[in-house]
Amino acid sequence: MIQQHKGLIYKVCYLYAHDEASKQDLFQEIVIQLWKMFGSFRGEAKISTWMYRIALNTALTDLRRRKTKVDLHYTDQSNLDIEEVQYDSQRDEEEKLLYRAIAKLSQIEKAVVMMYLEDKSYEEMEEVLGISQGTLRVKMNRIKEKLRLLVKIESHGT
Amino acid sequence: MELDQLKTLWKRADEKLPTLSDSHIEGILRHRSQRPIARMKRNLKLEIVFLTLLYAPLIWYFSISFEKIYIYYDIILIVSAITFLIYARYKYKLLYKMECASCEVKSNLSVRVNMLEKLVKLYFYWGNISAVLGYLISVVISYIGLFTEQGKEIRVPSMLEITILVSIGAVFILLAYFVNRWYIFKLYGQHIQNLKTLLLEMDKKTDQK
Repeated sequence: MIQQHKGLIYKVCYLYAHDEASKQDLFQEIVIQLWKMFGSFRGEAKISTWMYRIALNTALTDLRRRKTKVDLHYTDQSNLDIEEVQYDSQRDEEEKLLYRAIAKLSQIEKAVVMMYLEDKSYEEMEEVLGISQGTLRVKMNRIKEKLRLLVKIESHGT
Repeated sequence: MELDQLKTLWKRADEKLPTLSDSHIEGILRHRSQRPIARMKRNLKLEIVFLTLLYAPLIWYFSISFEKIYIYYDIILIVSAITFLIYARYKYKLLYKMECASCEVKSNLSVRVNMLEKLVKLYFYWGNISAVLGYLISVVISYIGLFTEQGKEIRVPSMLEITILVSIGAVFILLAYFVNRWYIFKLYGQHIQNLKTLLLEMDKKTDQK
């Protein structure tokens, strides 16, 4: 299950954690939560919906300012490393730009835009976030405008 | 760049995801959760174990002692142990209710804020009660100890002694009250405020500019 949906977990980590250590922490927490909660999954919702809930809940509710510290158990165990995506071409630069633009959105906007970019329906967004579809539509229009502008600003800035 | 292009870019990122083997996942699962709630639950269990190890021998020692005066120490210890157990039970219940990782994000945030506010109140009351109890216990023990050491009969303290003890107690408790309030806010104030901001943002249809 984790293998199949690892993209979802990695993307939440890229969006909500700012440094490598935080990404690893968050990745680890999400995987632990998924493991712990799997017994309570009754198939009432899609597995991806359930995973989104757990990943976003872990990322949002435990967001606390971290002290910068070197955590040895990560450096000791290379098998836990989440490697940075390598950008090696012009197209990859665009991808980098997209992540930079998204990073400037608020925490909730990031969650909404992530689901939009993953082609999730408003119904599924509502199931995950608990925001009514009406509110989501209004938010989505605003976010699209904001994202367009941010991408423009970022591309001029590079 | 148009939004459809962004979607294509976003999906392309999937192709470049790092490999994740089963042994990687097993490695992660060998670690304990470092989330604040998980850590608080573990700390609470440690506190219970520590206090049991500390209180049980003391209560046993005082109860078998031939000195009649030690019965008061026993009563004090038992009362404080019961108070702590009530506090620990309530705290555990709050921590248990606080976790709903598979719930909708909004309802989870709302529950979290609600429970954190209750937890903060609990800490605040517990901190103040502990300060009062701690002071009373130390005064009683020192007072009794002073007479027992000198082999004298325990007498009712004079008005002057009571006034001095009450004055010192009032200053200590007031100081503890402010330190407690400052410390709890430092620990949870900003976090609760952040969660409330997220919750507010979820309900808003428009941006706040």
